[in-house]
Amino acid sequence: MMPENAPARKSRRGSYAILMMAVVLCVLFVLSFAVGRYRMSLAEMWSGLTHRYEVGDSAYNSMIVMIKVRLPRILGAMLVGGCLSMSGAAFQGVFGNPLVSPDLLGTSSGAGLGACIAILSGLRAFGVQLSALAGGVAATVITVSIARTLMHKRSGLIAYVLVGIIVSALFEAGISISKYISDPYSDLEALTYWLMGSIKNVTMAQLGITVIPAGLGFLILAWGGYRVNLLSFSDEEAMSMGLNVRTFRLTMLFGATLMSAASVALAGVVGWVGLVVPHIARILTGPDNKKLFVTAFLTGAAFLLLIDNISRTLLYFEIPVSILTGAIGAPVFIILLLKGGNGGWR
Amino acid sequence: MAVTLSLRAEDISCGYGKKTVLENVSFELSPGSVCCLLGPNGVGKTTLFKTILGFLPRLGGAFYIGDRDIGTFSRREIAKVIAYVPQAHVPAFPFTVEDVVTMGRTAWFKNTRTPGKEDMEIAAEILDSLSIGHLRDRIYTQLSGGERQMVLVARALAQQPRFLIMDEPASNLDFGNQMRVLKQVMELKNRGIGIVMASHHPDHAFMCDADVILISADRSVKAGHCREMLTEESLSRAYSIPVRILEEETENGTIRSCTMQL
Repeated sequence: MMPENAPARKSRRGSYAILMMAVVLCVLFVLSFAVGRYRMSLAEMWSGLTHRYEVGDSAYNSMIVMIKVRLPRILGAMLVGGCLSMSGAAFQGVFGNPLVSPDLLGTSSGAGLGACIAILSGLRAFGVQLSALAGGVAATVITVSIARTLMHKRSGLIAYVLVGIIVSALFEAGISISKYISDPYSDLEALTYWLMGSIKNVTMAQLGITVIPAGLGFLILAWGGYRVNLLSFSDEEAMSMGLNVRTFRLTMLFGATLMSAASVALAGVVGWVGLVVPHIARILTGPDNKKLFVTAFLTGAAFLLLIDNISRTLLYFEIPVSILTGAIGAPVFIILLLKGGNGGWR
Repeated sequence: MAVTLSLRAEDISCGYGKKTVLENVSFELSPGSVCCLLGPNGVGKTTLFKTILGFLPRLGGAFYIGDRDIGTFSRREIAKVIAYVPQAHVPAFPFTVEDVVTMGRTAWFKNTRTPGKEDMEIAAEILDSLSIGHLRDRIYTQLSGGERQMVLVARALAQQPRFLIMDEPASNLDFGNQMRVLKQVMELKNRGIGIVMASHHPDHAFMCDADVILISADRSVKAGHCREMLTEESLSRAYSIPVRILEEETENGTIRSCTMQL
């Protein structure tokens, strides 16, 4: 019980978690190059990277598979998993409620409709991505502004949840209309596939434009991480401790929305990661959001990378990741709920 | 800042939106004094607090910290002068007591920083001074109501404020814990902190020998020292019941207590 011991011990807990997840992620990153339809040993991977090769020989094939096929996909899985998870952790922290997920404010539905409109307009790749990003941010802005005008009638979270549900429903209706009127031989397939969520066709160029909003969101959340702790208490308490709650909460929501919208724009709607992974991360770090956010990013990146590896190796055809995240995420969440007290929240 | 810094409310009106709940509340609180806010449920005690702390917009009047209007202070500046002790409720995440208390330091460090060694030491010192040092590594959400209330007092003190605003700190506590919290209030007063405390028990005002703001059921507001303000007549009117005040002489002075014959 010496005054010096506890702080040192506690800060170590968080740092260990970050270090551990960073190592896990690195190992997974390397191994991910080896798995898939085209199997490679570590030695083959090494020779693919280091040897001089002739077009068509095995070192060349290894190199092509690794750099052209697998690298974008691996980076995509990490980015999407990390963004969704960190964004989820931020939403849970900002609303002081562990059952909140990043789609609370309608970001996913908004991004979905954005993508639908772009696909129906004949756009592909970049166009769809930008339109989805814009849709996601727009839906969130609509939710937040309506919820804020309701604030004096209902307490914070309830207003956001209600308006979020309504705005989501509206955008979902838009998505349904898009499906209904789309050409079943071209657009509908692209649309359905996009909505299902996949990181199969991610390109380096797409990653490039995702990194900008995702990185900005990451910086915002990392900057405000500690003060999100204050929001676990009532707004009034947080204000009395010197926090400008309104501005701060909006800033954090903006950062979290940038991250989730960026990920939805890149890979479509990948469910459960943003809800479940923050809980796993919280078990590792404890409730301090400063450490939690970074750990959640690393854990989410590792989680989705693992799921994506499973999705491309488990069966002869590829299973969309969102199906796997649901199939794995939902049971994990039930276990966490049943465990309750030890799940990093009361 | 001057040592004589005091809080001064001049004709404050407060309420929600356009609906005025209380009007013309005036009082002054100097460091090292206790002011008890008494009145029946729903009369606007919490509304007044929220207005003073700037959680609700003031509908009229002025509130000064020293000679500066509180409107010219930033949130952070207010937090360094006035701390707020709410009624304890349970947050969703299992922070340790030390985490909770160091959160009170937030106003004192830059946005990009987290609590440092110095902040941990201040927290430890405060916990010890409140005789709850043993709770430091416990999980806040798992404490009893009385312990949680004391931790919130510690968190408020970590702001190193001149004034504490306590919203019914003794409600929801058993008799023993109520008395412990009041004893702590007196100790803080003796340390030179000015305290405004809402309470449901006129007894608390007597025990702390406090100034009183008495809000009656008809929303009339009166302020003064408890011995003048709290009479059988004024309390009966405030709470709309016949109140008796019993007095007992002891070697340390007079003990006064309110009750009612059923």
